[in-house]
Amino acid sequence: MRIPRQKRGLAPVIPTASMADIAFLLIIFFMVTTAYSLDRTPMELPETEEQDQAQKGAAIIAITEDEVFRFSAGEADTQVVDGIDGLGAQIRAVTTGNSLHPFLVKADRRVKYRVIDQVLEQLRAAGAENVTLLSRGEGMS
Amino acid sequence: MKIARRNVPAEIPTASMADVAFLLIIFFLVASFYSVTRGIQFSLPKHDEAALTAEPEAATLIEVAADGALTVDSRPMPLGDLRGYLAPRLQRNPTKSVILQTSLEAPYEAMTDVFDELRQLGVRNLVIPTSTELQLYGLQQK
Repeated sequence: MRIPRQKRGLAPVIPTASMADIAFLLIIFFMVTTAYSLDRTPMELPETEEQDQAQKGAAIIAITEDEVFRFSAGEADTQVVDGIDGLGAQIRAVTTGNSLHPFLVKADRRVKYRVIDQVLEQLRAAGAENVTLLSRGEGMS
Repeated sequence: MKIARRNVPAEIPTASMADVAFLLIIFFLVASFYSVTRGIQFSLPKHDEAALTAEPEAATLIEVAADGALTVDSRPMPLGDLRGYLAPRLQRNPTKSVILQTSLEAPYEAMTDVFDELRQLGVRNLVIPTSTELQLYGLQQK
């Protein structure tokens, strides 16, 4: 006797109900870990093998190859400042409230050390303590 | 005549939610790669603290010339040999001070190359004096 094949009512489906949950979890992770770049000045950073993660909200001092200074206290985008004296005034404005405020020095690798020396002088005079020299990891394109 | 009520189950369409979420993930992924927030960290001495916390005679003095050439304790030395010179000294005295003095005419990169090497060696007491501090301590800026 021939047994009739039973028709199954279940359609083949891939369960995707939890995909959105996983995706939103990943979004939250990237939102928390992403630090937005407040300075988009194109420059060639020096390469270093040793690298530390800079603190979020740090003030940025950008120095281009032609020795133009840009500054951001860590909230808005960087703005051009009037020479080393203008930069010194901006640094003091930040350290007056909090001497532990971190600073990032983003300088072109071809800049003369004289300029970096002047910036370090200004930072020290203003009482800044926590400084990071931004660099590119070795082997990164 | 009685009209038959249609039985449509109530649901919120969530089919496109995953697409939107993955789009946002890609945005944050890209944004995080473009943001360069890594570098070599160091602490400046406090304003009321002496700049040179080490005696210059007891410390290793590394001078970076304008052309990037190194002089370590008055001896010319290529950057590659610095590890071999400093590592045994640091093994004997892990808190040995190193003073990094860079010529004002040297490119910034020459200083960061040496700084990077010293960080890899694990130098704990590294001093980077500014030109004013060097004058205070009677050292000559080149």
